[in-house]
Amino acid sequence: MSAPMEKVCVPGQRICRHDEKVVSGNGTYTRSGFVYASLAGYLTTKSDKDQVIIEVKTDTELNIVPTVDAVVTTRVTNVNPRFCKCSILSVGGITLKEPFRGLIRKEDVRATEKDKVEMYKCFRPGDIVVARVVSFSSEYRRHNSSFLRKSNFLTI
Amino acid sequence: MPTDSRRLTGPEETKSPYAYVKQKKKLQVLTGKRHDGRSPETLRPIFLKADVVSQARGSAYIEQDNTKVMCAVYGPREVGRKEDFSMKGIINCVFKYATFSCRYRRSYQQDSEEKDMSVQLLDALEPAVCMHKFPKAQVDIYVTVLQNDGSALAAAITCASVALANAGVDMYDLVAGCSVRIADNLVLVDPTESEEYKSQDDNPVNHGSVTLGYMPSLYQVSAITSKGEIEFEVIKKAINLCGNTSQTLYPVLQKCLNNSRFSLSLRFSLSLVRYHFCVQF
Repeated sequence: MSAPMEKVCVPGQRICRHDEKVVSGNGTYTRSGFVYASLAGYLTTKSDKDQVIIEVKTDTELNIVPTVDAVVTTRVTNVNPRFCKCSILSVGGITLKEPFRGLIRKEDVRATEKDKVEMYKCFRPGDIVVARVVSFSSEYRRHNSSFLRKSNFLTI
Repeated sequence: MPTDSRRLTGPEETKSPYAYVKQKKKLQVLTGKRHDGRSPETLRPIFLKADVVSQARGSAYIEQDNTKVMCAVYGPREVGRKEDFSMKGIINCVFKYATFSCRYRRSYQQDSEEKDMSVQLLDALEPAVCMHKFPKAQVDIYVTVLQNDGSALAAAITCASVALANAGVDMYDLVAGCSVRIADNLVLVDPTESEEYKSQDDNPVNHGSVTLGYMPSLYQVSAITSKGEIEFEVIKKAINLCGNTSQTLYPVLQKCLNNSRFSLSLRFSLSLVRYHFCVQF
């Protein structure tokens, strides 16, 4: 439980001077040599070697969206020979409130023998796939699936 | 003209009761004091509360005497298919007067004035939000004016920025809104609806209104909008006054957000107590 005596920050509040010993973490940003809060929440500091990481934490869960390189959990909704559509359920262990649409392309399924991939043998609707986001396309997010139900190959 | 086919509108042969109300001649204050006894530079008392809509990600409610505005923030959620691709996030603003909020009844659908207000609100908020934090996602902001007694846009800006902070959307700073009404050489801060009113046969050199969105801890103006005919010197004075007044709003916003944090943790601890209670018996 968060104790009320912890320091509370609101967005735009100046926290401290920004130098080599200070790292601005989640919920903060740096501007003209100072670290400012960008979230409303409690100020926490962690020391890492000789540096101090400054973070602002909220009581509610973080607003998280899929970004490039994030590991996401998806459910397959639609499969066709070239790609399969899926809905992203969680990002890095944090469940999303609303799912995002995603796409696993045929060539992104595994690293070797890319031309021999048969989508119908890899995915079925309803499968849960853990994948890494490769890029933002103009239409969908593309994924490189890194782990598959019933199979034991792992590619990134 | 688009008609609302989903709702029963009144009979065609109706007359608004306001047709029989005597039109006011002049801005009252020109002849004397402001009707609520304030000095020209004073704001109305503000009540501000965050976390009022349980379904929304973040929300806020502001009351400036009889101006009452509610704001709810949803997302970041996926952008619709029709939006064009951008690596930055998108903010979607919907400003709406409740049908019963004004002197004249508003329609259920957004009219052009409300759409204009939505854009102005968006302009005021966009510079304050870290859009790069939610690529290809959008945040929806819904503002409803429950009662309009002047300065609705300024109240909406303040309310929406608190709601955004309450939703945990990364922001560079909060935005405080402030508006002034200019009549002749008078500059009135936080005008009420009757002070905003300008009659047809009243044409001083300077008349109009200015609304300012201000980021109090960065000392930056996020948006200015003005209406009417105003001389440069007077508008300069008005903008300065708006900025200074917005600065005084900052502690109110801070306190409101701090209180919402506190009540959250309190609620959490209460539920824990209840939980222990259940386990014991």
